[in-house]
Amino acid sequence: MSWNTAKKRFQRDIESLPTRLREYYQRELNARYTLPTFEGAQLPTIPAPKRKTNVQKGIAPGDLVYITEGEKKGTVTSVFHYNPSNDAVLVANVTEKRITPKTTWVDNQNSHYVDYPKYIPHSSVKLAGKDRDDSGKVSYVVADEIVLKDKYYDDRYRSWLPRRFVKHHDTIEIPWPNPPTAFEDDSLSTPELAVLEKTYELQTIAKPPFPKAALDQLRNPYSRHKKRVLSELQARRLNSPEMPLSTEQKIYLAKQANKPKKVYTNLSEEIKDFIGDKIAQHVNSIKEPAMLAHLEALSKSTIPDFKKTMENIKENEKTQ
Amino acid sequence: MSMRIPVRTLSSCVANLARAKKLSFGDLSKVQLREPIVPTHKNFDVSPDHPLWAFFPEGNKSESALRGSDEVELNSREWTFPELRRKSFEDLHRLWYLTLKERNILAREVRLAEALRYSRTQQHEALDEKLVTVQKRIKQVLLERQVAYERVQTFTEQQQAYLAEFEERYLNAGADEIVSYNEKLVRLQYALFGIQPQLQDYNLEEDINIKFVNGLSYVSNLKLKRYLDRNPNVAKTFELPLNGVVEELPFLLRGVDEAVEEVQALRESGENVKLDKIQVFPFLRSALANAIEQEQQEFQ
Repeated sequence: MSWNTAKKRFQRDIESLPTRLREYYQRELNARYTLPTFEGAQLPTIPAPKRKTNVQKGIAPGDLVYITEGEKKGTVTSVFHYNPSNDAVLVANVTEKRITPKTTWVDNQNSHYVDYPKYIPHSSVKLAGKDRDDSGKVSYVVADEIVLKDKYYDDRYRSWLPRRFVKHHDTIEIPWPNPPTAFEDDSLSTPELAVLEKTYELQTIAKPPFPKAALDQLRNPYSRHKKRVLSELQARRLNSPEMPLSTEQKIYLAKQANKPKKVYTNLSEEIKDFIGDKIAQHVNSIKEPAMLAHLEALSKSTIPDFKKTMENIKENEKTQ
Repeated sequence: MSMRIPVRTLSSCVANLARAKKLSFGDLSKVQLREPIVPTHKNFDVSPDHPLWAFFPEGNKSESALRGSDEVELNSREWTFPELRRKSFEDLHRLWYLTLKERNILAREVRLAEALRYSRTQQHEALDEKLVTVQKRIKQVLLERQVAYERVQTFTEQQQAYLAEFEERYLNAGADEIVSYNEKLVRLQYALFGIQPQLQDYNLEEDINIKFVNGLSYVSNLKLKRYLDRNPNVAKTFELPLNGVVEELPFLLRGVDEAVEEVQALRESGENVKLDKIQVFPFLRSALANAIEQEQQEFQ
């Protein structure tokens, strides 16, 4: 959180690296700073933006799950904890033998070598529901996948929760389990009456909703999006660089500059007659009606260059 | 700069500073040793009012400087948007600082834990995340209100249409309805122009603005129109329109009958000057301040 930002500036942020590099550094860190006997977490960490809470994953402490992989494959146990940073669950009866350093010993521990709870990936468990029929026989329903739908207020959790259904079986709902410890009011809780008391009502649109000085705290007046001036870097990005000219290009441009400016004038009557004669001669020689129709259509199309030339002629006449 | 100091001066200093009597410890065998003072925090008192107690979860009654992870209270949830939307700015402001105070306590504890190499602060961070969410939501709620306020300022056409419609209804209201219509008008003038219903609620610096002047002219003309419709005798002699805020203000402060009389008296005495734009706000401020003072005197 916010309290150790200064320290983080000088750390390598592993989470921002590409997956491969991240794994590499993780392995290196584990190898360098932990003794081989005290192995750290082996499951890869998930970058913070991709993490999901246990509610989003549809799993909660107290749930029954069916283990699909590993030593305890095929058994149904209950969940203790879901770890969002590894997407892993801690379930009952799944442990591993570990050598623990003395600093982590708990009460009544006599040996370094203990059964230690083992995190297993969330992908290797499936949510199970317990069902008891009329004769008292217990059966389990294992959901291959679950979907979260709707929302309802769960008083046990004191929050809004989605409902969990077995995928493609909208009638089979797996309710959320009872929370391991009941939620009770603590010193940070606000009494219900105080929360529900309404102290704001819009009475006037002529006055701002809060003092003017508070607005700067809500909107950053120095935001870079509000700046009307581009920085040098931004300006460079927007404009393409000026390319240097080759020697040939320079010679060509110098020649062009020396040439007299082209003057546009109207065609003389003689030339007009000559062109007209030529075209008439050609058109009269054509016998095919389709070709004539084609030429007729072609004569109606306008050429932008022709328009430009006519404008140039007009300008030229004006200047003269 | 030279550092030459006359030798004579130094020697006189030495003579002055010299002890008249030689320093001695007396009889050392009679000196009694006291108990050594152990350097511990128990040897000094901290005032129970010390402001830094605010950085401890239970103030000056705190037993330890660092809560264990099981002592951090994680049972309560964040304030939701609908809950925060019901709260006034003052409440949200207070809530913001209460949240900030809790966050400061947590930050201090985590910092201490770092120094002590105590790494189990996940619960502290989880609680801090909840508090951060509350702060973000408070900001969001306030911004929603600000955006709504800014947008509604552009709805001038709708406001004008509503005012015209209200004017028609007000003028056509019967004698039995006019009391409720006057109450409506009080609400309307606060809603659209920010004219306070009670004199003592005025903040003269902020409330007297261009909207107030517009509202004053709307309200006074509305009341006068109705009055002249009902009293044709007065309408014959009364010249329209009202000449600026000096003639409009009486309609806000007093009943219509009294206001009309006052305006007529003003006109006869020639005091109904049309103010320049720059004079309008100072005039309204001083006139309202006088009215407030008068009301207070009457109340006492």
